[in-house]
Amino acid sequence: MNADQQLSRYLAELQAAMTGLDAATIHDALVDAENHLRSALRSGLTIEKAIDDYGTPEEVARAYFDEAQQTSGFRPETGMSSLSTGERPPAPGSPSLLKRLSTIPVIKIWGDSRAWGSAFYFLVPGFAFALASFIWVVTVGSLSIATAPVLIGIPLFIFLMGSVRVISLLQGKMVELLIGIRMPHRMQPVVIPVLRGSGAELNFWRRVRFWLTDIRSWLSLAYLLGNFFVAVILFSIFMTLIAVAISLILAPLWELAPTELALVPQVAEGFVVRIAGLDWITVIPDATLPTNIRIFGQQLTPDANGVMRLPGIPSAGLSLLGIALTTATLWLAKGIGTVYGLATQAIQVARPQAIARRYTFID
Amino acid sequence: MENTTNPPISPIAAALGAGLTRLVVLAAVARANEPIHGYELARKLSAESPEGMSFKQGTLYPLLRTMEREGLISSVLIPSSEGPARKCFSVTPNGTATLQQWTTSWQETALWVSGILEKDNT
Repeated sequence: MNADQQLSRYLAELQAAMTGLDAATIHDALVDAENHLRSALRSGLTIEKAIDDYGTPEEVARAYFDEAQQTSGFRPETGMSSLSTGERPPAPGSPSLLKRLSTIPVIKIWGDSRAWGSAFYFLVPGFAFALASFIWVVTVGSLSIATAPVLIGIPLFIFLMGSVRVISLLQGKMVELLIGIRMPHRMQPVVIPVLRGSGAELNFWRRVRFWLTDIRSWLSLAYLLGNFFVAVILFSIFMTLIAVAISLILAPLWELAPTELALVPQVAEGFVVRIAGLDWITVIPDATLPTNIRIFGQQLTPDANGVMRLPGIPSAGLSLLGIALTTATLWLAKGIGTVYGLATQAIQVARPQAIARRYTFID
Repeated sequence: MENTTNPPISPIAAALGAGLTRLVVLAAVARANEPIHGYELARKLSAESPEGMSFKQGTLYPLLRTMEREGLISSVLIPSSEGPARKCFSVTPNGTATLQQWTTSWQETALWVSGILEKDNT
């Protein structure tokens, strides 16, 4: 087994040893390990010595597990407090009303940054980015296919494959920022071209070959195409839900208006909807005043001036309904955001175990 | 940092080593005049570590990751002709200030411990 194969097997074993950790953390650990070991090889060390210095997969994995444990709240009791970064424990005393509310299962979603971030992502940047990347892939992809017979299409297609990796990485960054699912920081390791060639240098052509042979390039291409339709559907759902929820929450504002919502008959012009003394919408032109209008179960009758006033809107109830709808929308955004983020993450992470199995380095 | 099993080290050395790792790594990053690659950093630390206090270089990276997240160090990808871009680390202004604070704490602690040990010896 040559050095590249041993390195590939080591990465596969490291991936296996890190099972249970976040996929992006595993990916970054693999990238670090590969870069480190390749640097060691270039400096003249043997692969055996480089791996020995680096640590067994179990030793390295344990360090990452320890790190994950610490960042999730665990602090060793005997740690040197003088080496802390200045974090202070929370002041003693009874928790504020806001904090107490945030512990109630249903309500706590209002303070959940992933829920708000997901809703915002699906409404603005996610939709815009999906639209732009779809246009890019379709335009350049079509151009490359159309010009393939005159050979211009081939470099164009290679350019497209390189670009989708970058776009996918950028999209991942945005998802990480707003939805909070950690994404790989780089699209490596690069074991595939090295396995097929000799040496560790990654020149331009090997890089191109890597783009074309790496499953992540094709997954990214498919993702950018399919993501457009997903983004449109999610945009429509969340725009509708949020618009309805906001309208319901703001229903009490109608009561603050100096006049009620009224249907005002206009001679020879039909009716206008008059709100707060202003004519907003002309309706039913050239029609006569209907005499049998029921709203909220009440019969409307014209007053001496022929004006029919709408009954008071049950605004408090509508407001509560709006708050409930917003809560449900936030839960939905969080759930879909998590699935969406994990799918984006899965496209970008390295798969050394799969590669090693493919090249029969491991069972 | 991880201690090797050969030669075995005492529990007190292991505990001291674990507690001081962040200080040592931060100081090593700060000492480099330019952004330093993980491999280079590990190599320098390994070369300077005393007998019996060596560590597995792979355990350095989760620590660097944590320190980067805490804002003590920052990383930048520097293109390399030999392979993929290399992730290099440098200390942030916050890291510099923290290093000064930690150094003072360490010096005071070392002075205190030395004083006690000297009294015990006399």
